Amino acid sequence: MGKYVWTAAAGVLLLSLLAGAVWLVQAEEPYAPDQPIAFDHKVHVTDYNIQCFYCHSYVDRSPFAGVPSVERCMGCHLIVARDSPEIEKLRNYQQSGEPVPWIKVYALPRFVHFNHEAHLRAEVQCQSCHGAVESMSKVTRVNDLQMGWCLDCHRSEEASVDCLTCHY
Amino acid sequence: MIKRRDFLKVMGVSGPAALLEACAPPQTEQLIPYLVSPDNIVPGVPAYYTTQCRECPAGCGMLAKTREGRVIKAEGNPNHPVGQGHLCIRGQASVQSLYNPDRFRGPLLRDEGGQLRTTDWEQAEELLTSRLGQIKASGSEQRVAWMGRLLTGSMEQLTRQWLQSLGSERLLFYETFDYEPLRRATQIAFDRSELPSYHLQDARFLISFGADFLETWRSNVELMGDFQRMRKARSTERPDNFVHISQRLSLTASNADWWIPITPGAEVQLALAIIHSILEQGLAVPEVDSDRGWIESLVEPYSPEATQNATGVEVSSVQELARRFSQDSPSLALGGGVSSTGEQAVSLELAVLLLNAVAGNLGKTLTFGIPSALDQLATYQEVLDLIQDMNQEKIEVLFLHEANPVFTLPQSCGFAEALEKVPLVVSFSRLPDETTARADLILPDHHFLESWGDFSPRAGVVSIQQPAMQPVFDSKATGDVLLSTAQNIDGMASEFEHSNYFDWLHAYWDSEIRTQVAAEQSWEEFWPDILRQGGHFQEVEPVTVALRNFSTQIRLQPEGLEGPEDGHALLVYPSAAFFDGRNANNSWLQEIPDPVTQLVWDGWVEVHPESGREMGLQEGDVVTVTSPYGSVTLPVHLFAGLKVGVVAMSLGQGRSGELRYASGRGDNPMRLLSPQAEPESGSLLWRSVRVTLAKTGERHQLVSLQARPQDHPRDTLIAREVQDTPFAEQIFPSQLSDSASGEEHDTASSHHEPIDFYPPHEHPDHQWGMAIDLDSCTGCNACVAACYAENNVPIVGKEKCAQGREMSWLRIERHLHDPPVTQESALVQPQVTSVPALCQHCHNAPCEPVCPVFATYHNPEGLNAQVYARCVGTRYCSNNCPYKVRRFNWSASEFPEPLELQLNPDVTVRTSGVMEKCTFCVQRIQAGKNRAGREERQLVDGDITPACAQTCPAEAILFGDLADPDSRLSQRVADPRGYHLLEGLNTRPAITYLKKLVPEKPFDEE
Amino acid sequence: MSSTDRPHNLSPDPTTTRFGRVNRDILGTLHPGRLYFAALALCLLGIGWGVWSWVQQVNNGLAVTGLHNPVMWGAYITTFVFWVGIAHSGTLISAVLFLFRARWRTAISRAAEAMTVFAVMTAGLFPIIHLGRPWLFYWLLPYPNQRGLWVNFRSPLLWDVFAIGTYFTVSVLFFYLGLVPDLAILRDNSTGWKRRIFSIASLGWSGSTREWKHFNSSYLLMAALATPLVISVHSVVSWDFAVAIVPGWHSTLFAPYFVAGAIFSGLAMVLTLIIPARKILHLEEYVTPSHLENVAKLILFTSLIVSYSYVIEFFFAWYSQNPFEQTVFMSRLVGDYAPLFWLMVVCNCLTPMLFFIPSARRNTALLFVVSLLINVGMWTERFVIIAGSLARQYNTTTWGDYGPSWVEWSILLGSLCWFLFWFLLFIRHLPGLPIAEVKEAMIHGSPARNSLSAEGQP
Repeated sequence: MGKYVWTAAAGVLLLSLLAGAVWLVQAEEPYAPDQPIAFDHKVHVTDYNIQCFYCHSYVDRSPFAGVPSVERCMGCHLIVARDSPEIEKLRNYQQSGEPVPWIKVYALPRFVHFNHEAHLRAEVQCQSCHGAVESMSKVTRVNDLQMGWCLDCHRSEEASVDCLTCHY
Repeated sequence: MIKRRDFLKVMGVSGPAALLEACAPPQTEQLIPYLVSPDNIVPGVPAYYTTQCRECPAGCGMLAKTREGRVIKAEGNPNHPVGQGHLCIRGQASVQSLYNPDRFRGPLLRDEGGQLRTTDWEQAEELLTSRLGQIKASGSEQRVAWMGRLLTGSMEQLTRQWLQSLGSERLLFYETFDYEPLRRATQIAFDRSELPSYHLQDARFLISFGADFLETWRSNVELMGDFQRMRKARSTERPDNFVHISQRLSLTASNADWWIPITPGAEVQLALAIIHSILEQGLAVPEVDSDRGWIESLVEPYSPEATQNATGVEVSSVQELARRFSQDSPSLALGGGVSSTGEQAVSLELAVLLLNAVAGNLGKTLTFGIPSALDQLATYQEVLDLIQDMNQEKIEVLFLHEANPVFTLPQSCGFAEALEKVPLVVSFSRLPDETTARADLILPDHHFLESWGDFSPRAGVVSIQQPAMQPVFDSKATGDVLLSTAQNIDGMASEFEHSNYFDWLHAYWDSEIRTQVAAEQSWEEFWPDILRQGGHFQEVEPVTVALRNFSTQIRLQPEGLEGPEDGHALLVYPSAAFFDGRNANNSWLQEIPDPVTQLVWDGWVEVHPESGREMGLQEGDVVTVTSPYGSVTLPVHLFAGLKVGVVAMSLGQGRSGELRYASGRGDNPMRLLSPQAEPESGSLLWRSVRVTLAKTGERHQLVSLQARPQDHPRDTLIAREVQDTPFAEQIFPSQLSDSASGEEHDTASSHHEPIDFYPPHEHPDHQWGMAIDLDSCTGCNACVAACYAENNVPIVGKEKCAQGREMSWLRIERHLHDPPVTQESALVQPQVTSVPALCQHCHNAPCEPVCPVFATYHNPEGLNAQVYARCVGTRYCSNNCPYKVRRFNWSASEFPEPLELQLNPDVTVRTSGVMEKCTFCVQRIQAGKNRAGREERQLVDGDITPACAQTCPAEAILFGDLADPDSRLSQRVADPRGYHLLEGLNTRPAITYLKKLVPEKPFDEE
Repeated sequence: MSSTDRPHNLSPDPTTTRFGRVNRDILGTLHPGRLYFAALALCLLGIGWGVWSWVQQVNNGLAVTGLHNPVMWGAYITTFVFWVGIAHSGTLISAVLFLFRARWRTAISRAAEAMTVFAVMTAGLFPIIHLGRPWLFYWLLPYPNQRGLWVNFRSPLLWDVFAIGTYFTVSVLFFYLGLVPDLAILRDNSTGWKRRIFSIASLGWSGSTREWKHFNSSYLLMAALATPLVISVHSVVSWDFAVAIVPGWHSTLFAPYFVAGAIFSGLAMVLTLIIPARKILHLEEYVTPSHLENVAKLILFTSLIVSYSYVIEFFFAWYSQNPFEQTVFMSRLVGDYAPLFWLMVVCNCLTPMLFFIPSARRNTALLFVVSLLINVGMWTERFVIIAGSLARQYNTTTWGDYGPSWVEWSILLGSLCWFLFWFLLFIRHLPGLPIAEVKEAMIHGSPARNSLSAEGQP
């Protein structure tokens, strides 16, 4: 009767291992939220060749890259693609005086102090963190901004790996 | 409430620093762009606006630091002559009065039922205009009265003109603490009805007759700076050059080298005795030879011998005082101060002025011709007249602006009752107070950080007040209220060419100021420059004055006090934190301990231990204090820094109403004072009554953040050795000698070559450090408030303070070597050392090796880092910290709306269960590096200043780079006075303390 | 103790006792009555209460405790050290006395070993309970992570993790190894699913000579392996304090002092558990007063060591002329912590002196009372050392006294119930005495013969 028990035990073990394996291999869906306005980076950057800095204008003088004000969007869209339904939405936002509630694709916990300006000064390309946004019609999170990921770069580029660089 | 759109604007790209909990970023976090991006706001980058502090009439220059449109910090404006870049504790805490959760959300109107209910501005103003319209129409005179805080410039002009057009001259600038006796004395002595200007920095010897100029007297930040310059210049052989004469060991007195606890009323005699001795010793300056006759006859009866009994000061001491005062010329004598304003107030001021004249200080350290805004203050007598008219129902509308007279006037003068007789009482107060409780219409004014304005504390200094942010609540600038009402009253609109206060201000500055000071400049050149500088500042040439014979006008019979003979003289003094009570609902000011008693969140009556013994009173006994005019109920605090026979109470606590931080703490001493005005000057008689104390049998816990020896009565014997040495000098006996007498020794490390198991840390680029000069530190607590503001330090309330759970990163330890007053001694050495205690950022930090997860460690720049995100809360680091400067988050911190808007987004708000402590303002270090990087240069000395060092009015704190041998810091730590706390532990702190200079020998010993 | 002082009646008399009866008596303990279940229920209640209090603490933060600045460690760490101490006598009795051939140990070894395992299980909870953010306790373990963060091997708290971990593993193995032959007996005496479980647990033990040979040699090896841990574990725990610079902690004396204290308290706990157990389970015949007397002797011995340490601590403070050390110790003598200090002196130094009187050593009632007092005394000792020292550090302006809050008391109570709960389960389901060894003791009367070469055939 002992061997029944043994087989049972072995079976349980095997099953659990299998389950673990499945859980490990299943790929996670990359994060690409639907935005209030289906803004297409590909069109703006690749097709019309607008520089990142034009819209994300704070990036070289602030920790935050910033998103363009509705006013700035309308600057072009008073003329460009006026009849597009998306621009219609934009116009509504402007008229109602509501800012566009964009959904953050990349968000850091509040105890991390990241500084775009400093990284630009170190000539880090936007793409090295945000991926090839210029080819994205819908922005997708290309990495999860885990600390280890930051550190890899800081190590290889011999940037500071002191905790106080980001945590204070 | 904040209007939603403004709020979104305010929020900008980054929200206020959120809790550490927000670990995994919520997927739906939103990214709110500006609707129209304001040109002067870059999200994530602080914008500074020059403005001015209006917490008290001193009018220090201020820079408001804003992020994403929120004011997050107040700092001094370095260009401004008043304050010169520094702020006091109240100025630092002004951001909390801006975001005070108890502020009126909007205008209020008292309905038929006598209840205040919210209304809108249209309705409120309509009611006002209709009532004023009637008055205007009736053409009746003096029916409207205005009682408000001190105004100058455009706002004064507007208010005056507005009242005039309503047929009234009744514009009372009411401040609780006036300087009428002094102004009256200058009138008598020099025929100039103005407050003199003092130049402490030039004085070589200073006597203060009860003037608490380091706390609240005149312009305390400015005076503290001058005081420190005076102290730094003094000789190290004879370091005692400041004598304070008063009944209470105030903060100012405890910074004196010698303190004369004197019988109330004997000050005049002492002043005259000093003059007598100066003349006797032939030390008077030739300038007074012409007046010698009357002066001699005046002081003739007041020889040191004759006055010894009254003053209790030995002849030899008086003679030495006279010698030092006249020989260490120029010297300076300051007179007055609230707590010494009795029947003899004017006489005292006269005697003090004469003392200065005799020693030849006129035109040197004491000058005239630079009028102060304080000269405009209404006298208490004028207030009494107003009350009379109110009672006779001559006043139809009374406006109260930034004033709370129901609380700050003697209750016996019947102001509250008189208010009932006024048909319409309008208050512009921002916060509910005792007066708004009786007002019919409340039109909340903006906070000074939200509104335009200007103020001229003294001739030559005109500061501009810029709004640094959108109004937090639905308040309205009083100037705008006046103008918009004027627009809607027939016959009035025409008299006011502007419909809003901003235009009015512009016009005023264009016509009144630009034409005066820079007529050649165009407005477009002039105005931006004003905004950049924070105002217009210029030197004003003093005028020379001639002394007049006032021997007939000086009142010399001893001062009488009302009340039972066996009672105690009552001393009421302004609170260093709450001023006259206006700041009482400020949680920082409540939690930061009183600089003298170290007590928090409470009001109390101070009784000398000896008197306490006689009356059988223990610390914390609740007593009823009774004067001929009323009584208050308070806990007793036994305090040795008092003249026996005197009990002291501070003004400020005892606020009623529903103020979440202030209500129900202590009681209001104004219930006890006499309604009489001082006959000579019409000032309030602060020192006029004797009181009796009666036990109620109840007990009340007074909470001190600093454990005092008497809290541990049984830890005697060997413990005493530790107790009686101030913490600053607690080191092992073997080294006691060295640091006690600060002889030359290597301050970078311990004396003996330290033996370390581990190799020393490398500091390739920088090694941040600090030097704190205990000789300069006055213990005013401004740095503590600055730290609270900069680092999002939460407050915990009285109960948790009692449990020892306060969160302050920086505390000022106050060490009284032994109870200062023994009644025999006339000249007392206060022996008070104030030691700012913060993280020492040790090189061999005991906290570092014990942390199992590296949440605290020594970083390459010499900082003792604390990584909140990594901390699991074993609290081992705190156990192992000999300085006890680490703080643990026992529970989640709370920031009641809208206080969370004040949080510094550059500093993480710590969550429950993690350790925190001083970081040397690492966020400022990072910002400094970033700025240097942007400007493509190396960091230079002075690029980085922590909040505490930035605000210190005494400039006692110096931050810098120890790795740079040329930095100011490296020089200062080499000072022979330098030593480290608990040096014997070989923790090798990054903070060097410079020992306080104390006189070695008795005062009258040559 | 050497094996020579072994009173004659230590092993039950062979003429009156048959092996079968041994089985019956000892296995008889596995069928306790109503009282047992009442006790079990009570323990579960206590555990529930403790857990609930802890939930309060997790929700509201450590504000619910009495802890504050400067006393950052209090009842939790005290209780942690207390339970680790309790855990000691187990290994001592089973391993050290075994190596010393002190055959009398058989009567109490099983209980002691079980007690060790449960005490460590209890102790292990407290470092986690006392954390500010207990859900992150695993950060104390050195495991590879994407953040590339490692633990600080210089921190004594980390040494604890390893010391306690090792000690737990070894004592569990040791306990289990000793159980194997008895599990076989259980297997043979049970049916159904129980039989299945026991057959797995007993690893198919058949009791052959070969198995006994291997068993004995491996048992000897385990004993040898376990012995150093008796010294190491509590030394490491003591270093939590000794390496800190807190006056009253920073002392080279701590390691031996704590080890002695640990054994002292552990033996006391053995008495506290075994005396009622033998009454209720009718094992008087197997656990005789002589067994208890030997334990009492050991207690007396360790008590003397502990008392000596107390004296030496004060001597250090005086001799060093270090004002801070002296302040702390004065506060213990005459200060705010004096009442606790003197309580501890009475419990740990004075009452054990009774055991100089032979009759006192054999009086079970008295033994029980004294053992309880010692338990109290040892908890107090740790409290005075931890809280008392923290309350009186270098900077007099930051002194502050500490008393545990109801939450801390509740969790302490909960931990006691948790410990007893396991012990009750143990005596219900496993033989409270090592059957095989008892029989062994019956066959081989004299010490001359090597007990290890014997065959015990169930």
